[in-house]
Amino acid sequence: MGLGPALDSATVARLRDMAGDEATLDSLASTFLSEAKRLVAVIRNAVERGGADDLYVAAHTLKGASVNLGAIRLIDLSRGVEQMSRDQFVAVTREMIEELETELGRVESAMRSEGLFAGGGGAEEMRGRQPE
Amino acid sequence: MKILVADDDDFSRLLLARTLEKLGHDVIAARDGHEAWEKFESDDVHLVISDWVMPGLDGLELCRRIRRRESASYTYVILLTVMEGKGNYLEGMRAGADDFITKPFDEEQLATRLAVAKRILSLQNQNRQLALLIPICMYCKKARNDRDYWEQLDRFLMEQTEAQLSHGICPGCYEKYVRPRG
Repeated sequence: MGLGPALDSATVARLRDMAGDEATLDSLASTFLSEAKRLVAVIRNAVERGGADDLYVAAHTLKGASVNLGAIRLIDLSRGVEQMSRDQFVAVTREMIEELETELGRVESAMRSEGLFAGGGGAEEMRGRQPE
Repeated sequence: MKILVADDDDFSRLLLARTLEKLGHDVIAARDGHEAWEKFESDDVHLVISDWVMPGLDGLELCRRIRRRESASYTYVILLTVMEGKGNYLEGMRAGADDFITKPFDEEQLATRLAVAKRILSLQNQNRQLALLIPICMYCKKARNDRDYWEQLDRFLMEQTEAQLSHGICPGCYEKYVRPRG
């Protein structure tokens, strides 16, 4: 697909270094995943019922979390939603939301490959979505 | 230091809290600006690290509230945000922040900037203590000023502080000095 790596290796290395042990790393990784899933759900919900304020804050917060994890493309996608939500005349499309969800699946898969979850397990699977 | 962390993103808040604890600080965490304000008012916090964009009360308004509040001690405020660029930096600093860091933070840089914060906070505490420490003669009650002259306490206070004195006569002095002549 030519999307490039889902995670920035330098940021992940820094996260691993900061965590210091497997349990802390797992706790951080699980928190990212559940927070990112929650925020994508808020974004989807806001788009479906037209709540601009929720949309902006959720997209901005997802961008911040993605920056801290080094989720390269997720940063760009959430930034796109954030910028569009500030412009009343441009609607965030369902395709953009689906792209966000697909990318989050790819990020989760990369997190598992990087061994960020204790025992290779960790948080629940993305429902019905396969990483690309 | 006791540090209040405000961020609506669970991951970023946890990441920052763990880093600060690793650096030896006590951390109080808040999920948004309103919770941060409540915890700030009920606890003795040395430093606040706040995200900018949060639902309800955002980081800038939190910063303005902290600066408006009358307090015996100064609170150092750092904005930690993904908001980049000169315009955002100026807006954040003008709201009363002491420092502005963009995400993702680097642990070593954060530790260094916290060391600066600690230095500034300790200097302010020293200034406050010096201001409260007045060398005074135990007999005549004159105070020694910074030019090494001894002067009347009322004159000293007016020169060295922003205090405005309103002269009157206490009941004891009235009986001793004023009444006999009347």
